[in-house]
Amino acid sequence: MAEGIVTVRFKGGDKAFSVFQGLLTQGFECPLKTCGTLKHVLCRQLGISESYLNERVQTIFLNGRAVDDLVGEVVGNNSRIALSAAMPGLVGAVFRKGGMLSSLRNPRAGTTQDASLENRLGRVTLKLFNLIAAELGPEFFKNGILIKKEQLIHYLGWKKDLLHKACPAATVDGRQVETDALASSLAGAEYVRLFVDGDE
Amino acid sequence: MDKILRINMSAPGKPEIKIDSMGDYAGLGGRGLTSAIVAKEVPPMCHPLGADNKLIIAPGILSGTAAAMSGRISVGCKSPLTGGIKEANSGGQGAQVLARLGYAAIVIEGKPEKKTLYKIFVNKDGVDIAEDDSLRMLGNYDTVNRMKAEFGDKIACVSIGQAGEMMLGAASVAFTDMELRPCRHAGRGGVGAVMGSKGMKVIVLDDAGMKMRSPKDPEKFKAANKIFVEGLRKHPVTGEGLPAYGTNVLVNVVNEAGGFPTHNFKSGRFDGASRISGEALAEMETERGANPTHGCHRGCVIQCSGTFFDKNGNFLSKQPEYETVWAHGGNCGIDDLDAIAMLDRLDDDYGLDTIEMGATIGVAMEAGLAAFGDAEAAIELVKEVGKGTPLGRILGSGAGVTGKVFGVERVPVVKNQSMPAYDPRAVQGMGVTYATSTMGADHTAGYCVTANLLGVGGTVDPLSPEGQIELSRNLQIATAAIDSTGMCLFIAFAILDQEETFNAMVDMINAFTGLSMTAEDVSALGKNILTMERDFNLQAGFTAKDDRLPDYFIKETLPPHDVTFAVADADLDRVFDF
Repeated sequence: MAEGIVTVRFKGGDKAFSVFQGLLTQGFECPLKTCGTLKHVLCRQLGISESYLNERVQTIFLNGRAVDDLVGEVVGNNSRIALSAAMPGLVGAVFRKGGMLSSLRNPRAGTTQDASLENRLGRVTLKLFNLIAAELGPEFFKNGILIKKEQLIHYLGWKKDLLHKACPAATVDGRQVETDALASSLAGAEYVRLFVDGDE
Repeated sequence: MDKILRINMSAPGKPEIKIDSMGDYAGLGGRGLTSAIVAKEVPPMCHPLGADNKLIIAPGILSGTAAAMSGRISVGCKSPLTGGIKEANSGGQGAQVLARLGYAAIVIEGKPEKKTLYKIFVNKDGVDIAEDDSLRMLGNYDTVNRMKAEFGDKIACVSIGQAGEMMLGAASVAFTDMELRPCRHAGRGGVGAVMGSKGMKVIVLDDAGMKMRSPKDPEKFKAANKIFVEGLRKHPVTGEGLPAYGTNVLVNVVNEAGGFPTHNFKSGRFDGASRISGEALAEMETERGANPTHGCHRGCVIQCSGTFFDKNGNFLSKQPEYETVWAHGGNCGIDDLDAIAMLDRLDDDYGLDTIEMGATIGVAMEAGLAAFGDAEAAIELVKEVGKGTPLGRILGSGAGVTGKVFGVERVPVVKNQSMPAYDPRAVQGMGVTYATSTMGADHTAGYCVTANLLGVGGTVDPLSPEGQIELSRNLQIATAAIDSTGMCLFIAFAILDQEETFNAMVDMINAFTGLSMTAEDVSALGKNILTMERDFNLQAGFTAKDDRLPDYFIKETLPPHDVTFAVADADLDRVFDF
């Protein structure tokens, strides 16, 4: 266990992925090598392709504010980024990046980052919604997502029944653990790096 | 669809049935027709539950044709909730079946002398009306089951539940879906109360032996419909997002934006949002063997309605819509999808608007009748409405009445109608529409129909903050026009993004009607509808003061962004300058 981080790994194929997909919508933490523009952080550091970002991701929130300019926006330490596919309804159009209805937002909602934060080491919380979670989730789970232990325990309690069916066992730092005993096996940890493998 | 069925409930002895030609209403459908009839035939100062009010049920211009997504139906009257003109629309089978039977509208007028309940049966052979007091105080589900036993399962029903019979302000009119479940509702404004005031419990429609409506130019119509459907299927919203998650896909996004009204509009973020999100709902439905991808009427391509099964795998309700999940969920601090689906089922069965009821329960919670987050208490409060207790009648009268009775200052209504699921402090343009809509606070009044593409009201600068007034105006004009076609508003994204899909829709209308409608014609239609509606409201006593949000939206900041609604009154008063 390094720096209070334990590694938890689930196997169970698509069913397991389905059970844990909700964690992506709640948000997980991503360490950054450097802070920088939104485009730099998402593409260079988090590995999302530029074409995917341009075409598939239609709504981006930075600290709760819908943003349009990926190059002009700076991501600072402890920022929160959320990515969504195209959304229905008037509000979907309002929050859409570069959308013609963006003026219907409240321009005072949310804060902008200080550009001087650029190049500092940092960490962001990333949320993946709807189709974006379904499409990018497997890759993030394959590489492991970082979440607080309490968040995982709370989540496992919510998904208890589904979890039993999809993946009754996990490994914690390489040791086999029944899911019922998972919470107690995380004692002392602050964070969990969670892997969900796509293969049975 | 060239005739109007009029039923005079005041006629001595038995309601009188009359079939009229379209006359001055020729060419109108949906909201255009309901508002035209209300504006021309209903005295603006009449009592909404009196004999002078009329209830109009009208499918859209394209309903009953092969046009995809053409299954919306409008219900219009003077609203007992707002006191102004009302058009509430619904999906379900009603539009397609009524249109195929050849009726552009059913107009129920007058008021029976005695308190008798009636049912109407309409088929290719004519119209039959009969007394049926055995239906008294039945819920919509039981009512439809009785009609199924009597008329078979190839019917569509339009009905009211207990709330409509009690003439409550939150009462809806229910329409059955393809499986004959009364789960699609014209919810807003108390239209069910007006149906109840007429003594009309259920209208049974049977289109056996009737053909699909034929276009003037079948080949052009078929070709346009094909392109239109392809456009819907390839677009990520209509072809992927909505079919996969339904409208509830908005929960996480609106919550992230800080615009998800929580605990009776005290905050814009709900901690339990991810537990009631569209993603969580779809996963739960799939796990229980329900279907998150399901159409509410024949000819639906988007398939966003879904079904919800309980823990034992039995049908409980339709997939709760985003507005319902917000109203009964985040707004009341409830993060349990099973409880929200139960509330949805109760609302549908009693015949209640889920937005109005969720907002009402939120106000009741603020008054201390239950704690925020107490799902069981919320269910019991809604059950009071079904039982018709004094408390239930207060709650069923809506958030405004409930706030007054229990001394709550923070009541989220405009023109006495509850706000939907977007806090106007976070999405100011939505607040402009809430404030100024002829319908009261309404999220669909200014929907995402591209104003610039339609050329409605000229082109505006979308990035200008001042553009909010112009955009709201143009969206309201465009929406009024689309509401007349019978087309589902969810087509908006595909026609917004894909020019060929927009053109296909216009081609389809023109090929069907034989007209050559232009963008200017669409604009003129929308403006005409809004003008009629505004004039009616002015004559009913509305003034500029009614086009305002409640005071606390201007004074109280909304966490997490700590913003207020900042559009000036003078700007709100400019919305209808056209």
